[in-house]
Amino acid sequence: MCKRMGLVCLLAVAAGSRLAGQNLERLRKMWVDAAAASARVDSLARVRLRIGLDSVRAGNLVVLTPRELRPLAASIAPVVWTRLEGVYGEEARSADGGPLVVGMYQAVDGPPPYGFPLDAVTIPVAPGSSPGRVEAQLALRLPEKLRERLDPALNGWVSKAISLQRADSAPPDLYEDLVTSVSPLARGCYVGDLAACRSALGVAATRDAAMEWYDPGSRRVLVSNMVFVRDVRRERDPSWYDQCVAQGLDAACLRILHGPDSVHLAAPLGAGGRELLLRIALAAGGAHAFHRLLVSAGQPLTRRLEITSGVPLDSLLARWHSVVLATRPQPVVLSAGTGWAALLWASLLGALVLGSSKWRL
Amino acid sequence: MFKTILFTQWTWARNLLLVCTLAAFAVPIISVGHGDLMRADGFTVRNYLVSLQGVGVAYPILAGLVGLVLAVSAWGPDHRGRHIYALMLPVPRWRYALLRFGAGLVLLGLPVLALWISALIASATVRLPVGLSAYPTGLAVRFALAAAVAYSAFSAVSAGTSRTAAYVLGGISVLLVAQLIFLFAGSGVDVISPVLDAIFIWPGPLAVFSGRWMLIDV
Repeated sequence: MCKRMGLVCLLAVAAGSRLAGQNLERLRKMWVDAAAASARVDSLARVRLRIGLDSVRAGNLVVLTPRELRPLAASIAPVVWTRLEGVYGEEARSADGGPLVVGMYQAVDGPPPYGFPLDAVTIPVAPGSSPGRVEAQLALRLPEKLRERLDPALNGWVSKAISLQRADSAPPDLYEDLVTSVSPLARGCYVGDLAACRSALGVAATRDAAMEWYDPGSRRVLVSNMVFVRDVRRERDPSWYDQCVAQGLDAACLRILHGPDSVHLAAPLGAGGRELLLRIALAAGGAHAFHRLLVSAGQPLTRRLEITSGVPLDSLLARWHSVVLATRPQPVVLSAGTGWAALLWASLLGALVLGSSKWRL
Repeated sequence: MFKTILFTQWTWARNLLLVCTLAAFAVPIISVGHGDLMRADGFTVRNYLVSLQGVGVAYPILAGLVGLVLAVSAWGPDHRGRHIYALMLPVPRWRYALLRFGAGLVLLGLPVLALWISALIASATVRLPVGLSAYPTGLAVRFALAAAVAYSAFSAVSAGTSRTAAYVLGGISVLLVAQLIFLFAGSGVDVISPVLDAIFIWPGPLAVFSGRWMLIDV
């Protein structure tokens, strides 16, 4: 009797679960259909909104913008285009890759409310943003777009977009990078050894980066600070790590740096320095320089830089060196002008004290 | 007479001045910490410089504070005594003001000297790699000038009448209120930044306060 009842229950549960499965499938289909319909409606709404957008063109730069941002777009587009053209030259001008489309919209952040083209660079403009701020946003985002045209080898080497700054300007941290690097190459470069600069920037091909870029002392420091190596090696082979860091055995450091963790070994000078070198090469090479850089893909980096700039690599490195040294941050020592100005102001304010009235009115 | 005024000002200001002098002595030594950077890697050195830059904010603040303490303590008792003492003295007002101002400048030497000695000690204890330098004297000179400018500015307000102080405060208030109105109106007009630029960028009166205040730098 019990067995029969159990069988009946089992059949009922099975039938119920089949029905539940069908229900779930039906609900899933309804959900997918509703989501698709909603997306179509949203898409149509965005396209309808896009129809109302104005466009501002400067050279090969097209800015899609709502009417209220048009004056702002019209004022900054020519400025940004001039800067873009100054760095990327003919390549920015040519329409091979289509125009450079920028979509501006009024928002603090978040996705754009309009259906901008997929390849558009979208720029949210916060209420009350100054033209300078929006220009800076554009100058930051557009090079990222153009970076997509670089071949993987060059992209991997420079590892950042080529900015729209002038070739004779660089942030002060490049100088700090040069003087604080642990590598002896950076110190050699600092005092003007161009071969050292070439190696420190990772321009010259290396057969053994760990040996060529760093000396035994700096290899030890490098290993002790390489987080991935420390974590992995401590588990994988702690004896090498300890021999390198604790006992200072260079062979152990080399063994780590030649192993799978060699991918973490970076050229002594950072991406900012490499980007500046590329920017100097583009400035030296004129309007077609960026195009020459792109078509020289596959050649050694030293050769590519010479083809791009049209000048020998040592000349480029010498310019790079002088630009970096010129960006040395101003230390606490006062310039004569600031010192005299301070004295003058202290005297002037002091004179106000002497001229104060004895009557307390 | 100068000695008497110097002594009275010392008596009025000594407690706060000693605190400022101790702070001026402590900041350079604390900021340098343990200092062997000879074998440190670039990342460590960079972090060290960043931390020094953070602590460096204390120098201009301290310079401003020293100026404020000395100016207020030099002129405050006169205000409280309704200037009867100053009016009773058989010297013209400008001479009296000069004596007060000069006494304050002399007292300013104490924290400056403390900072200079401390910076020299701190610089001697740290081992620096090629490319980094210590600037103990440069730091002390800058501190002295900044403190002198702050002292002069606060003295000019303190030695003046209440009306002068009201004009200065009123001017600042008008600027702040105007900026708030522009902000709430959604206008992008910025009235504060140009004024701050004019004050803090050369040849503005407080330009000496701007920039990097680092005992050890590139």
